[in-house]
Amino acid sequence: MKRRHPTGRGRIRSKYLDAFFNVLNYVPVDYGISASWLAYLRTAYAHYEYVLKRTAPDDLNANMFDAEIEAHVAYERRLADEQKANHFHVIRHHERLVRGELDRAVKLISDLESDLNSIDAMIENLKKGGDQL
Amino acid sequence: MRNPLKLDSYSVRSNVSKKMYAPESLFSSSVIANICVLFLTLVDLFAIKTLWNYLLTDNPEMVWLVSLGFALILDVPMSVAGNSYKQYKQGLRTKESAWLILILCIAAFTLAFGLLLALRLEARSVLFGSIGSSAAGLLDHTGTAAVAAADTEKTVFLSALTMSMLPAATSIAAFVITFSVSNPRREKLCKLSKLRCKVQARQADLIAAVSQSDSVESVVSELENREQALYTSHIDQIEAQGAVLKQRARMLLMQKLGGADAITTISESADEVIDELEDSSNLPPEPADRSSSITTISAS
Repeated sequence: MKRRHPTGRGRIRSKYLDAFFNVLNYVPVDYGISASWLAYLRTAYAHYEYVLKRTAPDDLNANMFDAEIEAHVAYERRLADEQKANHFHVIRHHERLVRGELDRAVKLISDLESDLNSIDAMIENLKKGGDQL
Repeated sequence: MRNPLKLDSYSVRSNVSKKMYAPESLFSSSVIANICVLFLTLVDLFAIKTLWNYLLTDNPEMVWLVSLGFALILDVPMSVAGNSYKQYKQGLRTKESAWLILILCIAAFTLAFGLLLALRLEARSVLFGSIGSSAAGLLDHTGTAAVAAADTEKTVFLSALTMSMLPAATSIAAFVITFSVSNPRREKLCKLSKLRCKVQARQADLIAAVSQSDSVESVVSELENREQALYTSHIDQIEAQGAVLKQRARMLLMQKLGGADAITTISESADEVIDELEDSSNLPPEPADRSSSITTISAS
């Protein structure tokens, strides 16, 4: 039975070079938030009501929850900074990989050029009379 | 998408080197020479088989095996010698190497030929006995038995010698044919030209791949800008959520206090939160004259 789309060991491998390099295949990842921030967002209003019921604030205590909220926000900022540093590190890592591959390609091109020169020299020698021994 | 560099970047060059500096083959690649040598070997094979057929009647397989071995030793080394000598003449082989091969091949041929010659001369009475007996039978009637015996011996000896010379003739023919027909220089030129085409094609493919690939600088800068935008968007979202929470806390406090003065005070403090949010994010600024914009909307 003829396999129309062979895969695995028997599959036909292309002998031709691909047209371009697979450069910088980095896919951006969305920034994540911590579970504690998510839980705080869900329970914040109930928490505020709970606190307000059990305290006696006046109009001068308008910012009584600001410090708590800012602490949570600052933690999330630090988390985002850390993720950003990681993401940039991955991008630079991929960049170095691609630069290395391109350097290898250029080196291979020059090596093939020198091989071509050697072959040309051998052909010339053979045409002259074969005194290359 | 596969990386072209991971195909066989090293094997390409190793294959090129292997083909460029491959040692010269001992055997000729000329089809005509090889067919001629094969034909001569077959001739020798059957000629030698007639000899061994009389001597080794018990084991037919052994007869074929020994005959084939002798035939190959008689013809193939001389063909190799002819090819090597041609390579030396065309400058593809050193003199020492060519002479060494030549001497070894001739030594192998001489050994095999000498053995066969001795064997055939010794066994001439068995092989050519029919010639001798028939000649003797005819001549006995004339009464000249002594002369007839001498002539018969001479005929048998010459017959054996003639049959022995056949392998020598075929071996010399193999040498001459291979020497004159094979052209190692042209074959090497052909191989190198093919190799040159392959290397050129591979190099052109690589150059095309490099030139068609995107600039690393532009791609990296694009990725970094996108990453920075993602980060800014995320931070803005967190800040906005924090501001919403602060405002919500103030709303709850307003509901709890209820007094107009208290609500006014708390509302004024909320402006600071909005200002902080605008400073920390890239939100568009609030319109300078809010009342005029509201008026415009209501009027329309």
